[in-house]
Amino acid sequence: MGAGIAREGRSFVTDGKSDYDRMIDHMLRKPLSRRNVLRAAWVGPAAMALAACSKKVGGSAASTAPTSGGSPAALEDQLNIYNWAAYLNPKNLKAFEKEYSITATQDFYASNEELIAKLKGGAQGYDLIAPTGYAVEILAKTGLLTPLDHAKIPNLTNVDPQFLDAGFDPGNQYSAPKDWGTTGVGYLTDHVSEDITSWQQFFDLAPQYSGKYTVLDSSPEVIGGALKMLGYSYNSLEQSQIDEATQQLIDIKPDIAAITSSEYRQMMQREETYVAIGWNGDFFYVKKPHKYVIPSEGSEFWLDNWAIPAGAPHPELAHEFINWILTPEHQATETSYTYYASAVPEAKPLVDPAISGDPAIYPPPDVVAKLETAIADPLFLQLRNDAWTKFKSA
Amino acid sequence: MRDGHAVAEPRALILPAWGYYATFLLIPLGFIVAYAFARTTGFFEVTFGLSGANFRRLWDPIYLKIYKDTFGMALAGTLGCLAIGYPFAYWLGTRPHRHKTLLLLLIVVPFWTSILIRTYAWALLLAGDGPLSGLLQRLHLIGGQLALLNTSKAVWIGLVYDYLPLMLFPLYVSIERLDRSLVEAARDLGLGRWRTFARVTLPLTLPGVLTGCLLTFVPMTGEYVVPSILGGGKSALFGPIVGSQFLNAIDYPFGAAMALSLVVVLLVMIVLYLRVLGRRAEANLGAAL
Repeated sequence: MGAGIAREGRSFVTDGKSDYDRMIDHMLRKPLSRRNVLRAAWVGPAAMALAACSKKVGGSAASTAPTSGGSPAALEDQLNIYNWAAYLNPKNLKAFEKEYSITATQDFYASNEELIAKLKGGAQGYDLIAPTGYAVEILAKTGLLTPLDHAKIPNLTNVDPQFLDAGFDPGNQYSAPKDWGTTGVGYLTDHVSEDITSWQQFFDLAPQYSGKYTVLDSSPEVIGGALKMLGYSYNSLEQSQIDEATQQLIDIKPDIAAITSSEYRQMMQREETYVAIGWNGDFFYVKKPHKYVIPSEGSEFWLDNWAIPAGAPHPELAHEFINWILTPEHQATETSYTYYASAVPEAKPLVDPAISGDPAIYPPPDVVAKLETAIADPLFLQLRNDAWTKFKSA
Repeated sequence: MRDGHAVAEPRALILPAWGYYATFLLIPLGFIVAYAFARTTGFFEVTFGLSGANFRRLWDPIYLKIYKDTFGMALAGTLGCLAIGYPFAYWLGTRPHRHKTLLLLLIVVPFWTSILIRTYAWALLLAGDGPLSGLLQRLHLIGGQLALLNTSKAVWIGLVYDYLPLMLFPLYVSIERLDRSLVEAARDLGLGRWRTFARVTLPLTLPGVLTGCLLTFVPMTGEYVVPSILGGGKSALFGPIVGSQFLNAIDYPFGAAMALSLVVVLLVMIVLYLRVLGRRAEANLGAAL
């Protein structure tokens, strides 16, 4: 998800009991106890060193869980996941805990930037994270990821090859695809009579629906949309093109109710706003009649991934989890919860047809062909952030 | 403790504080200074040196506007706190003694709650479908929904609310210490209410006013939470913009330069404050904090 901020809780949107469950899950999430953190810091590297020469790894209570995939090393008994909120189906997590007789904990972050800052700041004890492509590249280049042992993840072959060997991580040295989605425009059909199909329309209609617009609080996506409208690359590094795109945004700023990545679903649900730039899966929490479109000029396609931080205390189990989750059944369970498309094609027939048949989640190939992925480059980040500051202070 | 023995080496008492400030203030501040003159060369890669490029970048009209908007908002917030705080502190300072402690406690208690929670509470209160909006609509004071959340007005309300106690306490201290016989003397000698206030009460409580303004203005310039939550991402104030340099642009040197420039400006203000008040500043700050 681009330089995304929140893909978090749907807790405020009516979704019945399951919402409540998730809120409870969220509240009861167990933070790493100090003891665990210490163990992670001291035992983790030692355990990894042991793994190189011994078959038995892990703490005092080595698990007797089944080892699928012919893993030579014994599995640890705990898995600490650091993830976006509501981004891993609790059913899957419980099933994994049960199958391997382990305990899993989950902490949450709200943006790739938060994840990067935490890991860079020395956060220890996490075994699995779910960064977006460009964040994988930043983390890998900063030495914050453990290389994946592909021998322990045979199910990687289940992944559609078009999602493998991406530019951000050649050869999938550090990451395995989790799911993917797009950035586009969602609008309430009860309030917007026009059929929005392009960025041009999105910008043109702003004065008409003044005060009913929101855009993501994330510069790559929003400036990228304006760039696409003008016929430039989503990842343009040309100052003049970026200036032109920024001016388009400044022109509609008076019409924008909020610049937000986490509130737009609720605002649309309450019919406070009608039109939003957002991520495809997010609009599924809006229960009012609405439509999500990938603008005809093209937009962004993002891929989120599983990765193992450097110094993870339980790397064997983390590998096992990645392999486990990459089966079509478990992928389908994920999609039915996150509303984001799996990178495993065999999962699609197992997903509820209402979801798998939705072009907002599984766009047709001709639309996908026009999508670009955000790049990770220090100059890119700086240019986008400067433009964003200009837009915000205008 | 008059035997002189116990006060022989009082300097040792300051060691823990010195250690604390050296470790958690001076060393991090040293990092900020070092980074401010460095250059970004890659993800989390910087080349240290004596580059002034980051500061030259700050002269861009975009950043000058952010300074202007930030100081404008902090000034408006400070004046808001003063306008509400002074009459209230005056009323409180002249209450019978036994009620004062309770009243002061009532002001402090909400202050103990996380600023994050209190600010989110304001977001709910000010929302278009929130209780305030409903009430005003029922009273026919507004036609449609209240359009306050996600505006700079909402940021102002949040700032005034969050920083009011910091204004109240120094004001209360100086008003409570005010020698009431001077006020009575002024009235007896024929000064009207307003002139008594302007020529006796206000000058005597001015140290409290200045202290309160300093204690609210300075942290308001760096405020991150309130504009982020109540401003709808649209108010480009200093705090969130500095944050974005570290988080989004991964440009630590430029973020450090921004932070350092603000520290310098605020230090100048604090020096001026100490110059104006002299020793009275010490008494006032001490009592207020």
